[in-house]
Amino acid sequence: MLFDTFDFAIFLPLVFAIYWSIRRYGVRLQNAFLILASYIFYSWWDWRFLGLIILSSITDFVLAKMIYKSELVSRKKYLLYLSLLTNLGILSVFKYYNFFIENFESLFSVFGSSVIFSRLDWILPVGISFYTFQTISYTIDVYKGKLEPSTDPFSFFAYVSFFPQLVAGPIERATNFLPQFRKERSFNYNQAVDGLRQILWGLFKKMVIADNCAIFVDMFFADPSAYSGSALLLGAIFFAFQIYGDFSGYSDIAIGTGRLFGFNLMQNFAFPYFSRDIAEFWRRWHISLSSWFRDYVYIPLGGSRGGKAMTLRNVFIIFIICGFWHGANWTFIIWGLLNAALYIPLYVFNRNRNNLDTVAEGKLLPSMIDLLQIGITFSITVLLWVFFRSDSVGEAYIYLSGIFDSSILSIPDIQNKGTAVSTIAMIVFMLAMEWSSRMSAHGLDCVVSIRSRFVRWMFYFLIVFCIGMYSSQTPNGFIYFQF
Amino acid sequence: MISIVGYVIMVILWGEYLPTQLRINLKSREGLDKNIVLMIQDLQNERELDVLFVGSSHAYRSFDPRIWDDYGYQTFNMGTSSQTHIHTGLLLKEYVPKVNPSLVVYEVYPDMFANEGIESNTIFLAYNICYNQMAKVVLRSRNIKSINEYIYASFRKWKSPQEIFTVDVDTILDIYRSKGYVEMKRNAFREIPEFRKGNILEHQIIAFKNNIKFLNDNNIQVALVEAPVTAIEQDRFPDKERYDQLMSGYNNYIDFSKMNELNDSVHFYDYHHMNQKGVEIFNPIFIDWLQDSDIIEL
Repeated sequence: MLFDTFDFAIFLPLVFAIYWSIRRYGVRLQNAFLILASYIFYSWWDWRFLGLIILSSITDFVLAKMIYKSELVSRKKYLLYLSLLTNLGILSVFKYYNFFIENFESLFSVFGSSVIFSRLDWILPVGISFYTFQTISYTIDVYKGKLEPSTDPFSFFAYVSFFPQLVAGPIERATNFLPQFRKERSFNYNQAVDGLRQILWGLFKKMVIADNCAIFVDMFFADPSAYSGSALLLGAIFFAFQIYGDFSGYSDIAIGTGRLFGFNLMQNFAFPYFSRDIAEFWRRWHISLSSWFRDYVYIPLGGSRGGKAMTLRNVFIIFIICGFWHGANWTFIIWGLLNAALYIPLYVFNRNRNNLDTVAEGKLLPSMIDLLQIGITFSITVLLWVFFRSDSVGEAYIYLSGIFDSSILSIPDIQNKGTAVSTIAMIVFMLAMEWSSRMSAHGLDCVVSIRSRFVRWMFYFLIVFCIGMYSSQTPNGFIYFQF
Repeated sequence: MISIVGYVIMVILWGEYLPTQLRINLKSREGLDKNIVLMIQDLQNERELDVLFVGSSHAYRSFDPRIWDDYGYQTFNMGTSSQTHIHTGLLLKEYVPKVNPSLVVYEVYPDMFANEGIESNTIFLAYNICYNQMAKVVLRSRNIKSINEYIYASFRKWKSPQEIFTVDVDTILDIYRSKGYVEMKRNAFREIPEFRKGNILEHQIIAFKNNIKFLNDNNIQVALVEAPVTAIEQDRFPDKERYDQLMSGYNNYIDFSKMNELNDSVHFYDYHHMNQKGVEIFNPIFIDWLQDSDIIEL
């Protein structure tokens, strides 16, 4: 079930009403109901893959308990490996099997032998990369002694399958999220209202920004040779906003929905396009994933404790894994490598932690230097996104070559100019709202500070109207579902 | 309630004062198939037809009543752009009792089973066609664009209840000939980007079956016809197997999508519409088939 569909508009109030009406019967029943609702939500897409979530949940629920009870370190380690093998095994088979087979075949062909392996004709289960990482984090935390294993299967299963963030995150840490399922939850009006506000903003970003940008992005990336450099540049910029609107919009709806049910999910995007360098960008983009890699890969690898050379190696590994996590394609790996290549000079010259604050904090507008830094960082990001969007490295190269053509100075030759103008106007509106809210949790927070209730409601109304009048009629699903 | 009223007012203001290019989900009459206006005006003069054609643009670009006249058949083409089965149903119920056809040639095409009918909603609302039935159709479509179009169409209908639409017969692209037939001026094939088609929708299948039942109940013969398309077009549908299975349940179904007599680059002006040369080859072959199958009398 998608967040921007009529089905979800019926599903959410129904689940919300039942969930709070059974509160008096205890948290266990509420959790059981959440599991049921989450499984229905997931089955709407394909019920057959529900088995994988259940398998993953059972495996980690049982193994974490065994790890905790075990006295021997070697046995603990063995059980942890068993959990990793199960979770990563499922992920590898569904997501990476064909990629490795194809590359093995290419490798063999380099040495003159032709080997053909059979392919798996399976579709990728939605959200597999997200819930797998969530269950892995739980078992590792229990192994490290940071967390006691859950004794209540209802709270654990609800933690793994919680529908707002099941298919595209934020990837929650068990230490933060699991305790919320154990304690009693009370309905908080202000929290619920803020949740609704965040859902509204998420829907705007998805339906108005991302889906409209997608119309042009699909057109330009389908046949880059047919368009001028300026049109291709516009297409790359549109993709930057498409992926941001799509994924941060999803996260906003997930976090807002979580708040309706009394849960606090972690912030996943902190206005990354206002970043002043690539290091800041990565602290603000898909925070739950980058911090997951930091905690469960980078630090166990030695982090920055082993000297510069060791740190550089670790940074490279992280970025490559991060790229590969997004998909079984060399385009993602190159995208990760290029990000690493841009991050490393900052690290070498000790400038990677220069911008830990929020840009132009306490000011209305950024300084010229801030603006220049934001512009450069955004431009680099836009160009790197071309690898992310292209189907192959060759196509990315064609697209980028097309941008840096003399026709870059021409007026973009596009159809649907009206839609393009409306979309640009909406992007400007989104940026203005997010700029005003950049020190808060989401883009519509700035409205809260408006004293007049009438003006506040006018804002909400305006956003609803924009969704009605400017949302795209060719829904695209959510990009991150494929990861 | 205030929000709903506010939304309605905003839609009307947007429709009245903003250029069409700047209102994505309220196109109203801009860029639409205007031939429907001429078709409906022509239809008012028709009585006791031998053959009535219904379907999408494939219908009004494929069945040329002038050729059928030569064979002595009184025909009319009630095809409209992206006419889904839900919209075919509205037209059949409104106009079949008036023109009383002996045979309905029902043009079928996988895409029209996979189409939500948003474009058709817009066309019908823009020109007040079957307006009284459109509220139900719009609500069932659950589509915000159709809702906007309905709000604005209702406002315009309220503002000028007897509005008379005037449309040019001859436009840059095509000429409205007569009896619903629209002839494309361009003969040369031109590639137009085509998007991947969607899956078949259950409610369109139900509407299709209801239409067949309606015609059967009224003792009107039906011929289900798939009009010729190019080879590329035939492979675009992900749900073709299901469509074929559905069609195999009907006796009077004939698939002309792969006609040997037609050449993709000579007889089509795009992937799925014949040019006039193609139409002139196709129609006699189709009439022969109907006569050979005893569906229409010689």
